Amino acid sequence: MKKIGLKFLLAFSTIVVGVFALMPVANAHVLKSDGEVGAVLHIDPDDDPIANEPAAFYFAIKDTSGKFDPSKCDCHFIVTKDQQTVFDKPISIIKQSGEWDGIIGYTFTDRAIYSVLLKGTPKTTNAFQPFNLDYDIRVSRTANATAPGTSNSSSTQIHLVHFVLFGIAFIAIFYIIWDEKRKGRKTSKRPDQIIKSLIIVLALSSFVFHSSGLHCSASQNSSQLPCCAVAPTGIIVKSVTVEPVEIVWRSELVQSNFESIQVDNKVSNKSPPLQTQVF
Amino acid sequence: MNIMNKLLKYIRYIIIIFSVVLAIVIKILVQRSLPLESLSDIRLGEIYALVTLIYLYLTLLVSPLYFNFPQTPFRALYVKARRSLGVSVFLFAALHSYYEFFKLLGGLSGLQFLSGKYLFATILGIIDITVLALLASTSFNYAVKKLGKKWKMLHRMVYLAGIFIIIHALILGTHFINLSNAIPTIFFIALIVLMVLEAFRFGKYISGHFPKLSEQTASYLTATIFLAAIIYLYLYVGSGIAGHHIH
Repeated sequence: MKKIGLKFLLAFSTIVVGVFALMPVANAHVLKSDGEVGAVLHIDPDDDPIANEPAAFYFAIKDTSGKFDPSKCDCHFIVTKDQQTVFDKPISIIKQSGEWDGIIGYTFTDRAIYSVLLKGTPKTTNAFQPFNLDYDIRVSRTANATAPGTSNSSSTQIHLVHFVLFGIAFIAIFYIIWDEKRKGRKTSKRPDQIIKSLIIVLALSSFVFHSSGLHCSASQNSSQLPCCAVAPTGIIVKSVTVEPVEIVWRSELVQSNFESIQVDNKVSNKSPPLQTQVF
Repeated sequence: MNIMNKLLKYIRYIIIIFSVVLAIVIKILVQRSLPLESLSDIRLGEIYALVTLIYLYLTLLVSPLYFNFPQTPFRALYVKARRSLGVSVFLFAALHSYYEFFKLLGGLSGLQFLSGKYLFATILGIIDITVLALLASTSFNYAVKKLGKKWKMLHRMVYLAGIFIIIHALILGTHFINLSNAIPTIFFIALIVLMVLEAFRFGKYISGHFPKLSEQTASYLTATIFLAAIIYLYLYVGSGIAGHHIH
């Protein structure tokens, strides 16, 4: 009993921990605060930036005193690696749904641990409390070195999920029928109902996942895979133009080369910047 | 005493000890691979959340599995293990809460910096851990005897906690940002299987209260509602985050 228990513990621990160890590192939505100001950071793609691919940083900024005003802020986005500054640029901050959102793009050059700092210094004294929000970012992925115009995935890989889903359904059906016959009973009503339900549900689910672009990854050019009408990886911002009158925002991801991002959610710009900011 | 009888006698202790060992092993391995505390805290919060989901699934699977497939082996063992599986859900949920709420969010003072869906999902998480703590604290034989019939009613709250946990995971879970990845795919497939099995249990319960409705019709109706709910979660709660990360 003790030997079996120990072996079971060791084997199961190894398998479970091994599975988790293989999972990619992710940075998650991280909140940092400095006095009255805090910001939740989210990074595209998947909170797990890829070296040599553009990453978008979104800061949901909140000032509990209500004083924060981007027009009065010398707000900078600073990236450091091994305590050396590798990037330092002003960050665009807009008001969306009543909250301040800071957005900027940056491409990490290699796999390493970086420090990302959102620094806010008021241009006028006592405009708001200055803040420094520091986030540690681990870049563990690199872009696939794929020749342009080629796809990494074969048809089998792309439709793997469908094969798996229907494979599970067929195995379940055959096992149940075989088990019932082995025990010399007629196939009872309930397993028959369950089999039909599972087939319907798995087929519907397969359709849902297919239409949602389950197998379309960011690295695949949408023109090469007709069923990948959209490459759903989130928003990568290459340029934002803030006009004095309004800001127009489009929240759709269209191309893997990210040549242009257009915006179509119109927001009136109540705090027009002193100059048009393009980055 | 043969092996099965011994296993049956000690299965609850085995699972609890295994869960504690697993939690420690995960912590050691993560801290060795990510020496920077801020990064290891994030990673630990994520892993403990995923393990919570796995344990919760195993806990919820018992009844519908044996209701629909009574001949499935190891029934006595699995049913007896359910209580300790539930306690393990609380263990890993508590660890996840510690890292995410106290270490990364900074506790209650961090709530003031959250808004919109983040705040909503965090509040759901607080409700979840409260419910799980209540269930875990009443998982002992003494509580079962003391509460009598009310014990079963109380422990049905696990279904409510399960729904809140799913919504919490879809809104805040890093691995659920892109629903095309392996983890969300497996999650939704497993959820669909569980919901189909539960639909037949619900169908029998409903047809018992509404005799005009046949068990088969009630089951299919329930399965359709469950599937619609899952599709809604997938398309609007889960995928809805992929485009707008902040609000």
